[in-house]
Formats: sequence, C-alpha cells, structure tokens
Amino acid sequence: MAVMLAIAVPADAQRKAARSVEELAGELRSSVLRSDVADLMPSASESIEIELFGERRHYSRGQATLLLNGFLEDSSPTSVRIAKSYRTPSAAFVEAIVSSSFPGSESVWLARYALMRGEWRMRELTVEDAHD
Amino acid sequence: MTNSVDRFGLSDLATVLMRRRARWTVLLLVLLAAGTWAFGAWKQHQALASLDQRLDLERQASFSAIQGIVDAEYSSLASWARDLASDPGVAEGLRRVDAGREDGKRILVAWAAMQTHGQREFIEVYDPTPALQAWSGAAFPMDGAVRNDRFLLQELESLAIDGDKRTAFTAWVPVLDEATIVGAIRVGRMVEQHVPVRNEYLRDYTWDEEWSREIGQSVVFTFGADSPRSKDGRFILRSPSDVHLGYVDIETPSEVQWVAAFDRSFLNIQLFWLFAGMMLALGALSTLLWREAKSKQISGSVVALYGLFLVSVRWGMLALDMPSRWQMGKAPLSPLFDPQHLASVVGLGAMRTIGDLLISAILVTLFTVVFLRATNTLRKRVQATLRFKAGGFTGNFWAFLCVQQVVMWAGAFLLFEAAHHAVLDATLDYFERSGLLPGRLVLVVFAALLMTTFSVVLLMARIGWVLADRFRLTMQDLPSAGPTIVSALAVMIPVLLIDGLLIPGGAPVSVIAVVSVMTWLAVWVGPAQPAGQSPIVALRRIVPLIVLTSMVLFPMMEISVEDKARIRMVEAAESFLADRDARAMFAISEVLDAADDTSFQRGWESGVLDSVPLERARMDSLAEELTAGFMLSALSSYDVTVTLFAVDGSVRGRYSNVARRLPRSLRDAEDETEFILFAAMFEEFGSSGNMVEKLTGSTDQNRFRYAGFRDLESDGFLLVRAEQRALAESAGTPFPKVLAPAGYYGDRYADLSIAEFRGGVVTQTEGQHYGRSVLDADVIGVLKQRAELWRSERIRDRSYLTFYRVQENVALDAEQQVTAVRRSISNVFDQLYHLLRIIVGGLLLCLPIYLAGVLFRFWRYVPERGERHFRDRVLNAFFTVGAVTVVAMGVVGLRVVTGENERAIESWLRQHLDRVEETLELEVRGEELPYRVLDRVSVDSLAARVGVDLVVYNNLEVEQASRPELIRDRLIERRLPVEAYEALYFDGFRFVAVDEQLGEFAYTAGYRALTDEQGVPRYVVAIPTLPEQERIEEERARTVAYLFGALLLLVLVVMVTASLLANTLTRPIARLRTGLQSVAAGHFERISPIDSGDEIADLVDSFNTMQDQLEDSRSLLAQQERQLAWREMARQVAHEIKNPLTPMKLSIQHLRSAFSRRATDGSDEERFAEKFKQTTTTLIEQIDTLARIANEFSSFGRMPTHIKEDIDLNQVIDEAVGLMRSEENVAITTKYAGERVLVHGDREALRRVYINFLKNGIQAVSEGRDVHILVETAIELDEQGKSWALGRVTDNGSGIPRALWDKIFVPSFSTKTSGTGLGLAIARKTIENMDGEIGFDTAFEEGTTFWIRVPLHMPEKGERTAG
Repeated sequence: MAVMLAIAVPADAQRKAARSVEELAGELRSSVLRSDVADLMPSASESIEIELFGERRHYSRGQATLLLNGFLEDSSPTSVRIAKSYRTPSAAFVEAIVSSSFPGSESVWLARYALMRGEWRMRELTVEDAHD
Repeated sequence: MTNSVDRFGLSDLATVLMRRRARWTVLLLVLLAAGTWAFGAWKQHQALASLDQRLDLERQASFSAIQGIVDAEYSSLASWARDLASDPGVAEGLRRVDAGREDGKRILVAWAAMQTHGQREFIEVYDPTPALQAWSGAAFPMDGAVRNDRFLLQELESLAIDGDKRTAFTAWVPVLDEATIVGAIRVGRMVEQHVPVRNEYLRDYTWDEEWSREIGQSVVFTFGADSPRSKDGRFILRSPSDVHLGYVDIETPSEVQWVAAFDRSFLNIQLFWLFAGMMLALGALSTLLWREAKSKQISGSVVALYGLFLVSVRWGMLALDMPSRWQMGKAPLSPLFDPQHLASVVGLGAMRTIGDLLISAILVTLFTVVFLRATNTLRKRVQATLRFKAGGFTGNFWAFLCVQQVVMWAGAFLLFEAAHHAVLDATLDYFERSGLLPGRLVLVVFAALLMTTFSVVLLMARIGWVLADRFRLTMQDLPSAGPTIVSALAVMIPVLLIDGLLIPGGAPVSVIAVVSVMTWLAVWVGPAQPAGQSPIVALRRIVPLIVLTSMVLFPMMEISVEDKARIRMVEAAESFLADRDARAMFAISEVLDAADDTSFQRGWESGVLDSVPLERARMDSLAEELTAGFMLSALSSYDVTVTLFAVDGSVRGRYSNVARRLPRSLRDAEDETEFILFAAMFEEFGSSGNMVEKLTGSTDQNRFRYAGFRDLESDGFLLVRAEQRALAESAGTPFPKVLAPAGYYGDRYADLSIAEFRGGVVTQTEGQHYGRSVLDADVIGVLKQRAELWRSERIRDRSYLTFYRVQENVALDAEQQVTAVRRSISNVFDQLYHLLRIIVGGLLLCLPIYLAGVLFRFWRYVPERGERHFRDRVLNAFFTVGAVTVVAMGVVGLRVVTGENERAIESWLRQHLDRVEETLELEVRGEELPYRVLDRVSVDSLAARVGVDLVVYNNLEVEQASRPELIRDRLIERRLPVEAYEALYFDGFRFVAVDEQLGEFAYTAGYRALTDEQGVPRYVVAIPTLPEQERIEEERARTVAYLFGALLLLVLVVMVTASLLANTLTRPIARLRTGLQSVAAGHFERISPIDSGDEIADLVDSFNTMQDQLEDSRSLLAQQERQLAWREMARQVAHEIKNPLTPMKLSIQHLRSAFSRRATDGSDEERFAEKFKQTTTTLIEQIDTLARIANEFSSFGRMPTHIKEDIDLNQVIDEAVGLMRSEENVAITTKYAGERVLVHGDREALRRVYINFLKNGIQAVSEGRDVHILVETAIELDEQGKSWALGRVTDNGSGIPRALWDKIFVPSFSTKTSGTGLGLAIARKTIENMDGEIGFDTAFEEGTTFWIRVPLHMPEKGERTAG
C-alpha cells in the first residue's frame, strides 16, 4: 500500500487575511435581499460562471452585475436562508435558499469562491429551482 | 460676416420649434399620458373592489386557455394520425402482415423510416392484435386506449406515461383497407420529459415553465394522476373525448403583486406616449436639419444642440428602461434586451444589452448623417482653399495636425473600447465555426459595431475638414495625399515605438489600423467625388464600404477575443489545482452529507442491522445511490470509490466507477486495510463530522487523491475516495461530456490544455495538446528570471500560445510547480473566416438598406442612360461573376466537407465495430459464430477492451449496455431505431450509421448486425459517437472555417482585380471623354498618353494627333482672320483717307489753275483771293477730316481714362447682373455682405470687369446645360487690420485646364473664337488701378471662381458716395 501523507496546507496565513465562509454567506445573503450585487461583484473574479435555471455561461464581472441585478429585480427576493456553507483550503461553498414574493417560487443559490492571493473571489454561481 | 438669411441659427430653430403644430403635438401627448394615468387609476380602483372574483375569473380564463391548448394538441394529433392512416402504403403493409406475408412488415418499416417528425414526437403502426409492426421516434409503453371497448373501432385519445421519465399525449386512428380494419396508427407528442442531468445539451421539458411564462401565472401540471384533494386554482384536465389526463394548479399573484403588475402595465403605456413624443421630436428635428442644410449653412451651435438632444434622448431612454420594458417574457425582441448575451457597464448604459448597443449605434449614425449634411458646403470650400491658395506648410498646419490627431485618437479609443467590451462583456461566440451566417444576436452586434465604426470614421474625417477650415490652412499645389501621409507617419511612428517599448499586447495595433484608415478616409470622403454621379446605395459602393469598415472593426474584435482568451488562460493557470482540489473535496463532502438522507439510512439499517442482512449486490447499489446526482459521479478524470464498512471494518458494499480486474475478495481486503488507516486518522480528527483530506496518490506521489470519512450513526463507516487517473488513458470508456451535469461539474476550461510540472517534469495534464513530459530548457531559463511567460509555440504544424506560470510567484527551483496553459492560435484562414463573418454581417445589414435605396431610386426618378458609367458596369459585372463563383464554390465546398465529415464518422464507427467483432472472434469456441460469445461475455468487459460504449440489441430491444443508465434515463431509446431495423433486417446491410439526438446534442450511432447460422441478425451491436462527436465536429468546423477563409480571400482578390481592371479599362476612356468635352468647349489640349501599347493607347495617340492638328488649324485660322481684319482695316483707312484726298487734290488743282490764269491774263485779284480762300478752307476742312479719322482710329485703340470715385460694389454688381439676366438658361444668384460695400474706383470699368466675369462664366458651361452663377461679396480684415472687400463669381462650368492657368490674364489670349482676348487683361488692369488683387480658383468639372480683393473704403463722416 502506498504511503499516505497528509499534505500540510499553507492556509493559516491566508485565513488571517481572508474572510470567513460565514462572512461570505452573510454578504451573499444581504446582497440578494437588497437585490443589488454591486457589493458582491468587486470581490468576484474577472470572469464568473453563472447558471440561471439551466443556462450556464461565463460572464465578465460587469456583465454578471447587470445580469444578476436584473434577475433579482424581476424575482424580488423576500427571504434568504443559508442552507449550507463549506470550505476547503482553497475554496468556499455557500448554498442559500431564496424565496421570492411570487407564489411557489423558491430558488437555490450555490456560490463557489476561490482563494486567490489571499482574497476570496466568487468564481461560480448556480441558481436553480428549489423544486427540481 | 454673412447674410443671416442663408444661415440657420438657434433663433431659426427656436422659431420652428414654437410652431403651432409642434405645440399641439406636445399637448396631445401630455393629454394621452394623463388620460392613461387617470384611466389606470380608475380601473385599478374598480378592480381592487372585487379582486378575489377577478383573480378567480383570471384563473378560470387561464384554465380555459390551457384546456383550449390541450384540445388543440389532441386535434392536431388526431389529424396527423388520420393523414398517416390514410396512406395506402400503411394499409397495404398491414393487409400483407394480416395475410402472413413477410414483405408486409418490410413495407411498414420502410414507410416508417421515411416519416419525419419532431424530436418529441413518435409514430407507431400496430396490427389488430395489437402488435407493434413499425415505429419512428421515442418508444412509449402502451397506453390506456387498448382497454377501451372501442379500441380499433374508432379514433381514441389517450395519455402514455413512461415511468417517471416522460409523458405524452397520444392519438389512435384505425387503418382501413377498404372497409376492413387492418390495424391502427398511434402518434404521440411529449408534454413532459425529465432528464437525469442538466447541462447545455440536456434540460427537462415541461409545460409548467412554458405556460407560466405564457399566461403570467404559476402553472403546475400533474399528468396521469387524480387530484388528491380539491384546492383553489386546481382544475382537472381532460381530453376532448373526456379522457382524464391529470390536473393543473394555477396560482394567481397576491394583491400586492397584482397591484404592482397593474401599475407597471399602465406605467408602460404612459411611458409609451413619452417615447412616442421623443421619437417624433427626434424625427422632426433630424428632418428639419436635413432639409435646411440643403440651402443654408447650419450653425455650429445648432449642430451641437442637436448632438446634445440625441444624448438626452439616449440617456432618457436608458433611465426609463425604454424600450426594453416592453420586451419582457416572450416578446419578439426580448433576446436583444437579455443581459445573458451581452451587458456592459461601459458607456454608462449605452451597451447595457445588445438592443441598447444597437440603439446607441443608430443614434450615432443619425448624428453622423446630419453632421455630414450640415458641414457639406464647408467641406467643399475647404477643399478648394486647400488646393489653390498661395502659401506652404505653416504653423497653422501643425496646429491643425495636432488637434486633428487628438480628435482621431479620441474617436479611435472610444471605438476600440466599444468593440473590446462587446467581446469581453458578452457570452456570444462571435466566431463560432458553425458556418458562414452568424446567429441573429451576433448579427445584430456586428451590425451595431459596423454602424458605429462607419459613423465614427466618417465623423472623424469630417471633423478633420472642419478643423482645416478653422485653422485656415494654406497649401499651394500640395497634393491632397500629402497631409494624409504626413499625419499618418506622425501618428504611426510614435505609436509603433510605444507599442514596441511600453505596451504589451496588440491593442495599439488596432488603434493604428483604425487611425490610418480613418485618416485615409478623411481624404477620400472629404473631397468626395462629384455628387450625383453614383448613388450611395449602389452595390459597387456598398460592398467596398462594408469590406473597408469590416477591416477596421476586425482587428479590434480579434484583439478583444484574444484578450478574453488570455484572461481565461491566466485564471486557469492561477486556479487549476485549487479548483480541482476544491471540486473534488466538495464532491466528497456532498456524498458524505448524502448519507444523512432518510432513504439511505433506512437501506443501511436494513442491510446491516436487520436479522437478514441485504445481499451484497443490494448494498453495492446502495453505495452507488449515494453518488447519484452529485458531482462525484461526474468527475470523469477520477477513479471514484465509495465503500460502506460495518463497524468492525469489514466491507459491506462498494461502488467504483472504474472496472478493475481484481476479484471482489481482494479488493475488499485492500479496502479493509485502508479502513484501518482512515479510522485512525478519523480518531485523531475527533471522531465526529465529516473528515475530508487531500492525500498523496496511492500509486504516484506526484498526483493527489482525496478521501472523505465519516461515521454512519447506525454502526458503520463510509469512505469515499477520488484519485486522479494516471496520465496514460485508463481502461474503460471515455465519459461523454453531454452526460456531465452542470453546476460545479462544468468543464470550465474545455478549450484549454493545462499541464502541471513539478521540478520540470509533468505531473498532471488536462486537454489534448500536451504530449511533452518535461519543460523546455528555454522556458525554465526564463521562468528563473520571472514568474510568468507568454510563449508562441509551434508543434506539429499547429501554432499554440502557452502561458507558463510559476506557482506562488516565486523563483523556479527543483520542486517548484509550474502550470502551463496552452491554447491553439487561429491561423490566417481562421482570421479570414472571422473577417468574412463580419463582412457577411455587414452585408446582411445593408441588404434592406440597399433594397430600400433601389425602391427609392425608382420611386423618385429613373436614371437616364447618360448618367450611367462604363466603370460601374464593369464593376457590376465583376461583382456578379465573383459573387456567383464564390457562392457556388461555397455551396459545393460545404457539401464536400459535410460529406467528408460523415464519411469520417462512418469510418470511425466501422473501425470500432470491426474491433468489437474481432474481440468477439478471439473468444469464439470451435466453429461457433461470434454472436454466441455475447451470450457469455459481459458488455462491460467488451466495452472496456474496445474502449468505446456499447449497446447490444436482441430482438429489437436493448439487452445490454455499457452505460445502462442511458437507457434507464431514456437518453437512448430501448428500441432499435427504425432506420437501423430496415437496413440490417430487410435491406441486408451489416452496418448502418444513424443520426440521433440526445437533447440538443446531435451524434451518430453505428449499428452492426451479428447474424446467426441462418443469416438472420441475432444481435445488433451499436456504438454511439458521443465522446468522439465533439472532436469530429471540431474538425469539421475547422475545415469549414478554412473553406470560408479561402473564399473570402477569393472575394477580396476578385474585388481588387475588378477595381484595377475597371480602372485600367475606363481611365483612358474617361480621358478621351474629357478630351472630347474640351474640344466641345473649344480647347484643343493633349490628354495624357497611355503606355499600354494596345488599341486604346493607339486611340489616345490618334486623339492627341488630331488635337495637335486642330490646334494648328485653329492658329492658322486665327492668323488668317487677323490678316483679314488688318486688310479690312487698311482698306477702311485707305477708303477714309481717300475720301478727303480727292477734294483736296481737286481744290489744289483749282487753285493752281486760278493762279495760272491770274498770271497769264491778269484776271481779277479779288476773284483769285476769293478762290484761294475757298480752296484753302476746303483743304483745311479735309485735313481736319483726316485728323478726325486719325483721332477716331487712335481712340479706338486707346484705353479710356478712369474716373475714380467712391462706389458701392453691391450696386455695381446689380447693374452688371441686370444686363446679363436676360440670357437664356442662366440663373444668377447674389449673396451680399451687408447693405453696402464701398470701394474707390471707376464705376464703368468695375462694371465691365463683372460683365466680363459673368460672360466668361456663361460661356464656360457646356451648351445644353443650365448655368448657375453665384455672385458674392464679403468683407474681411487682414492681419494688419486693414479692411478688404471681396468679390467672387462662381460658375458651374467645366473649369480651367491646368495648362491655361498662367495665360488667363495675358492680353490677346483667348480660348474663344470671338472677342479680342483683352477682357481679363483689362479686368486685371482695372483692379490693379484700384490697388487690389484678382485671381481665380478652379476645379475640373466643378466650376471656376473668379475673385477680386480691393481695399474697402471707409467714408468720412458726412461724406456722400456715388450711387
């Protein structure tokens, strides 16, 4: 059997500077409730992969801002519940359940962040129907 | 200082805007908006009073609409089925089947194979049994119609339900052979389909989403079930014949939502009135300026105000979200306003969506059109000034150049930014190799960018001419290309230096291209060719303009695409490992969490704790279920193992995505050994929660593996491991991308190849382009100096761009990791293809404009034959021939490429099916046929040995599949496709390739029949090209791109050749034409000889010889005329002199005889004295007569004496013009500076000067043409502050040839056959006597302006002036 060695992850230094996954989740929650991701996007990477109900594409940061703001304006979220948050040494995952005022409309937001140069950068966002 | 009548200023604009009609229009729109608001408020008040009933009515109405659609669907299906059932082939086939004839089935299968239908539709043919005889499309189980008493007796409706995967409406129609029922047709159309994964190819299809969007309410369909309970908004669905279909829930919005939606809809109407007002104002103002600019000079402030108005309209529209607010849901233009395709924050909203970009481009174009029109007269004046005024390069020129370059750079920068962000902030693939025609949205973006580019280029060019006017440029005889070349060099040299020294990347190159082209266009477009010769909408003008504009846009787009790709390469290099780690660890975490699921817990408890433990196979499937739907199942490059352990560490169940040859007992032992280590680590971890770790690989310490471990609360443990596969292709079949679910599973860097090196040796790769296992020494050398390196590399005839990055940005050492990201670079044919797509986009944009232009031309006038040009005809002919050739080659080439592609796919399928058969033959025992091997060999091992996925059909149904989930999830039909059935079972083929579809993913499957001892297909083995399809399609796309790139090259060659040839052919003809026109005008000049040595050159030589002879003849004639005149004059002089001489002679003779008589006869003294006096008197009289004659001749050749006085130049011109107005076909227009322009000179002489100018102008126009003469006066101050009066007389004649410029003011020179040739010489003498200057400006075929410049006289106070 091969020798197994746990890899020491040089994450301590990064963790000092970077925000916690709970902070990321809180930021996502407040942005969705405000229907404005302007605060969220500066920390996104140059291009971000977004899936909105099955349409998955790479967007630039600016395009993502306009896209998500337009989407949030249309869906008018009323509540956001953080269902799960998880982090690895180099990534963080946040899952939020977003309810809107439209009857029967509930969506799941899955965000992945990557730790790049000591900063969490949103790299991926998936929005899908909670009932699927 | 100019006359205000000829200028359109702000006050004129204000007058127009305050017209009554404008006021009424504004008032009407305000009233409409207010009325809409009031009506909306009243309606809302009414509606809120009974909202519940209203919502209920809305639900009822929605349900009625839905039920109507259901009825229409069934009606459509029944109609379709009736059409099919009435086909004689079906009845004939069924009749023969009924009669037991074998060919009956063959007829039906052949018939079914020919039918076409939608992807979600199917057709089935049944005999009366009912047994299925033929089919096409999806395989659905039998529906409830068979239980109906009237089955086969009448048309029936039903609902077919295929498990929980899909549901379809079906219609049955009996097939009659005359009056006998011989079978039935069933047709179906799916109403819902659920897929196991969702990605760009696969998506669930339901009516819910479609109908929710359609009726604006939440609609949820439940098919095939009874409603569990009644509920508000729940309606039972039934078919037209009352078959129960299920139920539908319709949820209406709350009161708050309803009010918000109502308000929005009425706000939309109010804003529409505002929008209409804005558009009306825009149209009216643009039309007004367009019209006024024809006869007046539009002031700069009006143009600036117009620009400001356009900007206001644009931002107003953006602020009010117009017109996107009317494009919600399924509105036809909604994709244009969807930020998913393009959305940029650059431009303050001008590029917020594709639609916004288009609107911005239209407004820029509109402004450009008006601006060009408003500055057209200025351009002509500047053009004349630049060419013929005395002077040289002055400080003004350099100042002009600086300002012009600043303006041009600003324009180029804005243009580049627009194109750059149209690429960076878009998800559109502008240069996808799908074919020549871009998609609709790409087309719109191309159109908008081309419009913007064209407009900005024209604007910059025209601004250049405006600046030239403002800086009063004076360049003598400087060719118009001179300033262009100077300015282009002045820009290019520093830019190239900056580009080379300071700025990495290629952006400046595009800017150079833009500026250069713009500068050239400044020359071309500025002094445009004579207006009216060729309409702008002519194809020969549109095509080159589009090509030129596309060539300006192309480098900007290309660079932007490159920049975007580089951003992704850097991201890939930065996060390749981190992404991989994160995704794998999160995937493991998800699976560990899934163990909390109740159904798993139940299964686990029953498997471990119950008295009768579940069998091993059930436990293995329990392990597999944990991974279903999670990312772990899609980690294609990982070996994934999920192991369930009992509390004692014994293996109870295992799932692995890799087929391994080891017996289960050995693998269990291996896992149980690992369990000990993981259990120890878990204890150290704290023995709670999920432990996920990144570990060194089990076989290679350079690779990693990931493991998750958790305690299953009901006595047991779960171990999940994912280890990246070795570099060599592992056993097993490749994972088709189409089956990878979206989400974190997405293949982010699909078009890139990534490799990681440790100590210079490759440790991991992804993608196809990494074959090397060590880093180049050159690369290592550079990476020791810096952390990043971009390098172009050529590997086996293909060019790549590779980005090397040292991890953590530290210097390279022996163990340092380097990530290399490689991407193939487009070659010249790719780039030509890209350019061609832009050009095609432009052509498609211009097609409607061209057609509209053609219609307009026919509507306004039919061009006369004389207005057509030989060059245009040659160009048209070449364009037509070129276009036909290119289209023909394109069509044929595309068919060839497609055919080759199909053959390549078939060849690939054949080869692999041959390998399947060869593999089976290796297992053959004795004399048995290969098909028998399939009875004992697992399809999994067969697929693993061949390296492809396999599906085995037996008795027309799937028997085995290496990916059974595809059949289970209905991604592959369980029934053999009818095309394969026909070819293999009836036509006797052993192989057939069938085009199939998996969601949006089109692929080909190959089918091979394995025949039994009787030669009948016993098994059919199928290979889908799923994983190979993308590579094959990529190859095809590349070939298509090369084909179209080569075609563009051909188009460009044809266009350039056509232009050159047309010029070569028409230039000498044009010269001959000019020469003949000169002859008609009385000029006998040589034209430039042609050195082509052909017939045309001979013709030009002959013409020049003829001109020489004509010139000689004219000189001779003039000389003879002069001699005749002198003779006549001499005769007159002699005659006049002779007349007095005779009386003088007679008088003297009388006097002499009188004197003689007095001497001889001494006659009377007195009489002699009388006679003497009389005679001398007569002599004196005659001598006086001679003196008078001499005086008269003298005064005839002498200039009259000038009497100087203060005179009004305007009045003198009026007198001269008054004398000439009576001429036929002569229109003389006067434009005076102020009421009086006082000068000091001889009134009569000055009048003669103007009469001379006017006569010259009239005679300069060819016979038959209307004469237009503009007479102007102006006042100017020179640099010393001295005032001058300016006078200009401009005609529309043929201009003065270059060779005559020096002779115009020479006495006795005249190109006319009448006159003394003294007119202009006398005019110069007159003006010089007034201390002034005289001169002329001329342009060939445009006309001549004679001008004078004399000191302005300032009268003393109280002084009176003549006139």
